[in-house]
Amino acid sequence: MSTNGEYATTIGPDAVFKGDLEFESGARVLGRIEGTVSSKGKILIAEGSECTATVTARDVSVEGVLTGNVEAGDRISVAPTGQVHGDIQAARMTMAEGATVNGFCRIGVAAGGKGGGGGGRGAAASPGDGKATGNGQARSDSEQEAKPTAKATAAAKR
Amino acid sequence: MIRRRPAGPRPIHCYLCGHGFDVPARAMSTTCPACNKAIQVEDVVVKSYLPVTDLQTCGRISVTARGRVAAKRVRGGGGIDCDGAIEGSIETEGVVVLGPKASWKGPVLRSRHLEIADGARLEGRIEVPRRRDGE
Repeated sequence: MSTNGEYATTIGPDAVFKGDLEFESGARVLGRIEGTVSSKGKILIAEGSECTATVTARDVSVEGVLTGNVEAGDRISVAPTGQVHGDIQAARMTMAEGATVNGFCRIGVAAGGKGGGGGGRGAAASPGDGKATGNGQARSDSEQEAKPTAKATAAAKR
Repeated sequence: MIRRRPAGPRPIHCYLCGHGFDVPARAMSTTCPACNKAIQVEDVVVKSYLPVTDLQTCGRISVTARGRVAAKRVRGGGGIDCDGAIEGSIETEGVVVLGPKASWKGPVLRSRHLEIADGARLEGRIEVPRRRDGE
């Protein structure tokens, strides 16, 4: 749990806010917000809070229920009680056991950049490019390395 | 390196129907008593490029740093450890662990829990915890 000092603003548990909220630094939301929230610091959706909002901040922590898209410049953290129903874009993400996330996520991938499928190890190949072994199942075992076919290796090099 | 399994039966869940039952510790494949389908139960380690249609097992799937899976669907009943790259849908009853240099790109990732190390790259729809059809 974060300390109060980290957050210059607190939206109380009995507050209901509809509209656009903009914070210069951190904010802690205990009540309900419908609209958009943006901050240059950290936004905490506290436990018990239910927000239907688009959140844009450097750090976003979700301990309550957030329905809407999240754009975190640095990190999004979802606590065990936290639920995010919406799309997430962030540089890093932390999920505690029990956390709920349901939406399209783009983590560690620069906005507008190429996807992470390649992981910097060459061009991404689509599943259709490869040849399934046997009856479509991967042929592999616990002790031996999966042998790439010549075709697969060539595809990887491309 | 020889991997040692604990002696005695181990519990698994069929990746096709979700039925839970025990198999011998050294079993590599079996038939699900509920859906009567042949299923793989061994652990899978991917150390290089592996293009397949479906990569599925009731055991654990590990993708090493040099491993790369390009599949339509990856199902690991015992969970999935990834230090390399996976492209394709991931479905597991267990935990998906993405290491700091791991990347995943796929239509959807469904798991009980997801651990993401700093530096990991993800792109796709995430449903955690996973919901079975009808839930």
